[in-house]
Amino acid sequence: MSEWGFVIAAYALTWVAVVGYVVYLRVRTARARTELDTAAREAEP
Amino acid sequence: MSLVALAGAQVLGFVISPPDRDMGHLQKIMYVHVPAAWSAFLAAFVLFIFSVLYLVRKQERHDLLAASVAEAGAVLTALTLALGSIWGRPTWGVWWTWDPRLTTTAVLMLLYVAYLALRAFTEDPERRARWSAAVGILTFLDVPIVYMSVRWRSIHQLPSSPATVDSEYALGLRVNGLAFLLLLIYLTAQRYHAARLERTAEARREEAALAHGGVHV
Repeated sequence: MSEWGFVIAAYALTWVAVVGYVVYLRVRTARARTELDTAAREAEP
Repeated sequence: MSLVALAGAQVLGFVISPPDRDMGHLQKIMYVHVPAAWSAFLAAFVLFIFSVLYLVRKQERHDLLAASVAEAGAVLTALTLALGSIWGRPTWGVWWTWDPRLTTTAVLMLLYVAYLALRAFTEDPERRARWSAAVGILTFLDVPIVYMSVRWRSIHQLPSSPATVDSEYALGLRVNGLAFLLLLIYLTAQRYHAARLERTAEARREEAALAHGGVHV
């Protein structure tokens, strides 16, 4: 692999890791919000 | 905003930095590898602060903040190791070697993983918070060892900082360091928000179970 190949791989990996983790956090937050709504409905008399 | 800052900082690093005399364009990996390492170490320091605060004050928010920054720290440490590996292959000729700097950073990664695993497998919230605070403190104790490790017969270069690199590279390093700092704050805040929602939902479910006449175990 050329010098540029390693450089591009490093930057691509950075973005895959960052965007991947951000997406994971968004999904987890949305799931928690749904759980909260469900729990609130269950708590209604 | 932090992602835009990160993209802008990386473009700046790419555009303004000339190729290094020895490493050529491989030097550009410094703009992601070094700031990722700084943020991973900073995350361990913040983890240490919130862990101590939890043990002193016993407030749930300190426990949740510690857990949030630990997860972001684990991601950034894994990224630091992977980027170091990509940089090491063309410069040292190996993807990995049991060098003091690499090994102590791998230990930091294992400590983050141990912290998160402990939280995942301990059900009692009070015990989980107390034990993980202890592991959180232990995790930070590895950071000074990682910092000093380059002086112990290491093949790794001495730590790069705006003070130790040529002025042509210092600006890019500073800007990328700032972008990674914003990223760490953003990731921790997002994770904390999710943790708060999860904790509130858990409390509501317990209230509902009590209101309906029993707790399901």
